[in-house]
Amino acid sequence: MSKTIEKILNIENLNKHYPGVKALEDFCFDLFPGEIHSIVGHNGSGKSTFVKILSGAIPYDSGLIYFHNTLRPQKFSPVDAIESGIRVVYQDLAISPNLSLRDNIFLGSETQKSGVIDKSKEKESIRHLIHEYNLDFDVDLEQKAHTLSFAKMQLVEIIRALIFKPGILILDEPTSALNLKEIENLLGILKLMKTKGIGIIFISHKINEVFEVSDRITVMKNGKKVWTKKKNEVQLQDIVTAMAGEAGKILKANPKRNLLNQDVVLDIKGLSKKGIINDFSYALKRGEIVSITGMKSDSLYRLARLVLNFEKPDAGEIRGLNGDKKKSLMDKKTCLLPEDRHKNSLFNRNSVSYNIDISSFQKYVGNLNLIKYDVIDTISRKFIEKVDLIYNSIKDNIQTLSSGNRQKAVLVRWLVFDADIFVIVEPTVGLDVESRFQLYNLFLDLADQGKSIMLISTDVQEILYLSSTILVYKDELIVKHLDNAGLREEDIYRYMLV
Amino acid sequence: MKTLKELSLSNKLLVVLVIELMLLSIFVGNFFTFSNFMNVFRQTSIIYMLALGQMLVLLVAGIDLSQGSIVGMVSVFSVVALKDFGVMAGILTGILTGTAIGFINGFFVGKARIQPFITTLGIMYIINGITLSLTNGQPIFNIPLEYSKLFFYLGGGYILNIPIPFIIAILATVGMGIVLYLFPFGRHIYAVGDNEEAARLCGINIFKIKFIIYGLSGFFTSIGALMLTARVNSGEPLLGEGMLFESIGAVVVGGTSLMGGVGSIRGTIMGVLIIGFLVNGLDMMNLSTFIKDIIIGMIIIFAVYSAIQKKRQR
Repeated sequence: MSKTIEKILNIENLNKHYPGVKALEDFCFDLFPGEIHSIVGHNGSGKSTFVKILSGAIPYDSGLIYFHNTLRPQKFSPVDAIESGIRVVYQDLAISPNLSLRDNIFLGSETQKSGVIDKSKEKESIRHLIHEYNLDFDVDLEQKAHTLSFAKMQLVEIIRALIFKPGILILDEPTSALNLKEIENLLGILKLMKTKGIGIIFISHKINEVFEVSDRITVMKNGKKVWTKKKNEVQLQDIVTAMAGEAGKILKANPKRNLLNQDVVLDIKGLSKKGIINDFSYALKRGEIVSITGMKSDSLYRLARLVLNFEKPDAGEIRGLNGDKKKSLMDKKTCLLPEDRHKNSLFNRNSVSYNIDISSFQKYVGNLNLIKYDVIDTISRKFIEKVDLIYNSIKDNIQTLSSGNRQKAVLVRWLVFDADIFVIVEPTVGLDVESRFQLYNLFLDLADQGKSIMLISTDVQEILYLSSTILVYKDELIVKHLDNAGLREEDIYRYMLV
Repeated sequence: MKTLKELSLSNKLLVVLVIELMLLSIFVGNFFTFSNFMNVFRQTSIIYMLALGQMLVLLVAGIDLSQGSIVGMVSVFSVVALKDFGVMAGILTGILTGTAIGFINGFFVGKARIQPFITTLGIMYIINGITLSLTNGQPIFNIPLEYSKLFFYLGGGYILNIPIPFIIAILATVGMGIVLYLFPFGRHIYAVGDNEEAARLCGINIFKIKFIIYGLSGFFTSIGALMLTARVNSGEPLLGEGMLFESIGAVVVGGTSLMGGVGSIRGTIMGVLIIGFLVNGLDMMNLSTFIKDIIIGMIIIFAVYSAIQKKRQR
């Protein structure tokens, strides 16, 4: 980066506090045109707060923000931010599903001709942009947004950001819902944007991507900057260490388990359902952790529901320990920790204790079907302690917990229920390194105690760390059955992609 | 030790009620008397029965718009049965009618998965239509004297100076309280309203819960309808007019969320009493009904607004 180029953004000693928490402390940051400057850090490290301040969504306490060497007023709104050339693409897309793609892209700043939207001109600008960035976006611009895949919708957001020729583009966790190929595409687009002189702030959990695409990297921890370095001056391991400290030790393989003489607790034979899987058989043993991995897809996640009979199979059968056919979840000892905690497993308007106890009310009942609260309380207290759940009061709303602790609470729910078979889907998406490893250790403990785990995850590091057997899922089939001995990430990607 | 501030925050509705009672006692003569309080308890017990049912439905993220129409049909059917077969038959017919309509709602919402608003709106029209066409819109009078005296007792009678509707309301409260907090079924209700998919993946039978809940709403509505029918001593096809929104209003003031998963019997009692005492006090001040409506409307909006503020603070 040449010194003569003027900084497009310069931030000095930015401070922001929430009641009881310093979200940002004397944070400094700068950005040159045509640069990708990444920010990495745990949940709660202050990344999101920073993005929100820059986008004008929240005010800050003190600090100086310069755009092009001009000081911005302390209070500026989202409209000011956009006028200053800042555009943000959020993790949760802000697409209106029932509007057309063109309307979505121009929402709020429509091109007008005598008071009427000039559709053809709008379309022309979009086509020009698609061509300019060589985007893989060959769709009818008048179709409704909800007909698109997530990756395509994200492209719509990016087009929306680019069409106004922003000086600064902020991408907040853009890859968390994309598959490998889509990620590759996105990173390619970012590189192209650089050449057009756009300054990009890239925020991600995935250090590999950050490392691949960045010019400079800033590591944040607890609202403070740990360091900012040029990419070619650091190793991947340096970033992990700076982010996580102790917990970030490099991954170690799953200790080999002896499962030869163990009982089969879940015997899946010839399970088939159109749109999910064809002819799936597996004998899950006591104390085993088996992983199913593949490209991120809805059908991969639905496989979990199929195995637990939340979806009716077209063919095949599933038997439990004594050869009994699995019927419903409640009376058996199986459980599901589904993908997307917020949507599929948490009761967000209720308390921590309610979220933990919900599955056990039916299980621990006495005379007249009355709930045995004393029994549930004793058991749940034991497991809350065991997983080291961090909370203020058990009666507080579940959302007062951090993401990692919410996931732990869901795990405790099924420990109190005394499940033997855990089907777990994407358990650590969006969690920081520390919470991740706490969960991994809990899963490994469970297996040591003779519980069985079927892990469905697209996080290859995760499955390498945890499982003894890895099944690779592709196009509604299990295409490969691998023993996790000396496997590397590349080995698995090969079967997933080729 | 909880500070006074914390206490008043967690009992905000109680504080509002106490302040209201104090103000009304000061400004309205004869307000703060035993007989007036018993009078309010008797009047509010009827709407409380509907509110209890409505709260349950709101807990599972639904709504029951058919309550008013159920009141009319229960009133007519029970009086028709009562005239020929006696008081017990009348009461039983009323309860069965209301509960059955509730189960029909529950079936369409739970099994056919039609939106609760649409289902209960449709049922409301159907039930109203049936009641009105059977009666030609005319009330049914002439309950034989031997029955009417006993029947009136249900809505207007007293035991030890305590109104019978109030006693029934207390029994319903205790019964529903036990179900909500001590049985698995009751705990599962909150889960279904909070996050239906998560509840399903916890192994909870969503249909069963919704079916029973709408049935209970019909059941409690029929009890309220019977109390009111007993007081007016005739089968009135239009008896339920206006009662639906009174019930929803009271429940919402009591802190139950229209989104589901949040709400309590305690709050519902508070909501019913806050509105009930206010209406009573304003009546005694000889204010017009129209002014009363304005004030109730403001209270509903204020109550919900302050609930939202509380959530934002979190």
